[in-house]
Formats: sequence, C-alpha cells, structure tokens
Amino acid sequence: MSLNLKDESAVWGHACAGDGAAFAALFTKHQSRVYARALTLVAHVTNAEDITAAAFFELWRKRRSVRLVDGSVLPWLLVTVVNLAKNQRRSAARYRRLIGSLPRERVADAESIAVTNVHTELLGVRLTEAIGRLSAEDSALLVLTVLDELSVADAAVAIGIKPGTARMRLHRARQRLQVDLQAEGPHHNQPIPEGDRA
Amino acid sequence: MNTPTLDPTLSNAIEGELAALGTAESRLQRHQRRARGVATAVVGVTVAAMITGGAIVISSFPGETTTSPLGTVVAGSFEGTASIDLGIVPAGAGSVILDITCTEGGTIEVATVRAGESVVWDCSNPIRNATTHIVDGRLPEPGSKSITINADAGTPWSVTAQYASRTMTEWKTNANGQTYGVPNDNGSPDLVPAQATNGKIGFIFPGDTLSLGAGVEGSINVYESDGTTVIGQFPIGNN
Repeated sequence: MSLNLKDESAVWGHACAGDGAAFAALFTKHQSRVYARALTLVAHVTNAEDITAAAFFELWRKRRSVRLVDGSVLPWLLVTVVNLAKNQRRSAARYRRLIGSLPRERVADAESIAVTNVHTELLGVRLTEAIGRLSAEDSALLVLTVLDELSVADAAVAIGIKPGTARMRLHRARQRLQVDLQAEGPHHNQPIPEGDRA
Repeated sequence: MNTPTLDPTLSNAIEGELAALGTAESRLQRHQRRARGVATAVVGVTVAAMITGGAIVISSFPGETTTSPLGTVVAGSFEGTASIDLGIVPAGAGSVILDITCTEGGTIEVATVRAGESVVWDCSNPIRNATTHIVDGRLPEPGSKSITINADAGTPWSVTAQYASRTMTEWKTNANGQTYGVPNDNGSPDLVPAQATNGKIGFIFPGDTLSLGAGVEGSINVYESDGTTVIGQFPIGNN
C-alpha cells in the first residue's frame, strides 16, 4: 500500500484500522521532532531513545483516544513525550522489556549528546527542573506553546482541555515558575514574558 | 548545530515493530494481549462458572497449557522492586506460579516465559481484583534462584510463588489449513476461542478486531472451528 504522507489524517485512518505500515510511516515522519524534544527533557541519550520508542508505542496503544491537531499526530506525540519524561520509571515499565530487546549501535551522535548537555530553558528555568515542578498537563502546555510554538488553542486540543482552561493554567504555571525563580535568587532572575501566543 | 538523529539501528528496529502491527509477528500486540489477558481470564472463568455451575469448559481447547506446581511455596511482602528467592530450580520446571496482591500505588511488572513479554498492571485500578494470578512467570536466569518483580517505588505488594512444570497440547488444524486453539508459549493459532453474544462458544480471527477502525463499536463473526460457519457475533467495545 502506498501512503501519501501529505494527508496525515488519511494515514492516521489506516493506522487506526490496524495497518502497521501506516504507524511505520508516521514514525518515519515524526521521529526527529519527537527525539529532539525528548533529548531536551532528560539527562541521557539512552533515556531519550527509550522515550521516543515508547511515545510511538503509546500512539498505537492509545490510538482510539489520540487527538489530531490540524490533521497531525505530532502535537499528541509531543504531549506524550513530556508525560513520559516526567515519569520515566513508571512509563518505562510498560515497554521495558520490549525496548530493552531492540538493537542499538550504542554510539550516540555528537548532536544528541550536545542537546542533552546544553540545558534547554523554559522561561528562564532549566526545562528539566520546570517539568519537575509542574503537573504533567501544565508541563505539556508550556512546552507546546513556548518551545514548539503551538497556539494555546491547538495545545489545548492536543492535551484534551478547553482553550479557556488552558489559558488560565498557562498563566498560573508561569506565575509559579516565576515565584520559584525569585525564591532561588539572582542567577535566574530574567523576567517571564506572557507572550502574544498565550 | 545539526539536527540530532536517532540511532539508525534503533530507528529501524522501532519502525520494524510498528510495521509488524496487525501481523502475527507483532510483539507489541502480544504484549498488550498478555496485559489484558489477566483481567479477561478472571472474567472468563467467572462467566463459565455461572453458566456451567462450576465446570470450566475451556479445558477442552487444543493448545492448552497444563501447569503443575513443583516444590515449596515461597511467600513474602515487599515494597517497590524486589527479588524473590525461590530456591534451586527443580528439574522439569517451566515457569513460576505467582499470586501477587496489591491495592495501592503504581504499576507492577512480572516477566513471563515468552522472551520480551511481561504482565503489567496498575495496583490502584479499582476495577481489578486485588490479587493477580500468573501461571507463566519466567524462571530465574541460569545459575540464579531468584526472580525480580518490578514495582514502582512506594507500591506495597505481597506474593506467594512456586515453581511449576509446563506442558502444552498441539493446536488442531481445520480443512482449510487454519490452526485453532488457545494461544500458548508457541504463539497464537489462526482461530482463538470466544463466546458469542448468543452464548455459543466458537472461534474468532484475532485480526478481525482490528478491522473495525478507530473509535468504532461493533461486532465480529464467531465461527465453528472450520473458520467459515458463522455461529454468532462477538462484541468489540470502544476502549
């Protein structure tokens, strides 16, 4: 079967009907973005690889409840990456043996190592620390809107909440990070912009 | 800086696992069936007991695995991941029978005899029975006498465990060359048992459950063991 990836919602239809080739095509299309986001959220390349695999396995397992945004599964995948990164131990348990059995070269490329070593910042806070302080949904909202540049409305769809709720939660999450920053002293004191997209 | 790229070997392996979905080779689907199977088996036995007054009809299917306890029972209570010392593996042992009880906390994972597969469940899920009965727990690694149960930190659980022997009958083959019977350590036959909404017990093609598509509730055919005579319908819920 040939799959036209320009029409991702049609590919998703095939995937939901149990077509493995469609899942493989979606993996080919989105693996780079998913892996790149995972690298910014965890400390080791191996963990980012595990999360990338788990995110696509979850895409299959939860296929009946996946929400497309603008006809794409990518936002859902990115939300899942944040959730997986927030709870690595628990989320890894489901696929631990399967992922552990997958072959690897075990030589990470220089760019991957660089990304995990350069601490990505979210509103002036180290991203890994920020998602540790916020709930999974709030973390995903901030990552999608600030780093992945989705509109609040699109991020809300990907997470499964109303846009109004998303705006309120984003506002509170920003406030919370700002309060935490101020409590920590001057080395992290850059102002937090509200941003037009919010 | 260039774009980071996923290890190509791993990338190919993940793509291969995804491409195998919908085929008999899919380890993801086997993994999922195992996790669901524990809950389904409890329901199935309960239903059979109601219908037959206690006689479990599933014992007559080809391919069935017979598990017989061997040696002594080990018991203990733990929190989080822990190893259980079961003693030296006796001759003829093929699996470990485990009854694990938990009612709160996170997930527990128990490796099963088929490579790469395990049973995973959420202890705080209120619709589950508190005790999960597993007859195909994986034996200790060669040279070891302990198995490790993976549990989330802060998850309390107790266990009774015992070695067991494990024998399987052969699947049968119908006139069309299709195998039928119950899934076992050798994999899954073409047709597996199911009870139709009219109460009749027959067989379904597992792949039929995937043909309905996303978010669809419906039903698939239940057949005689010939794979062609329809005797009823099997409901597929929207989960």
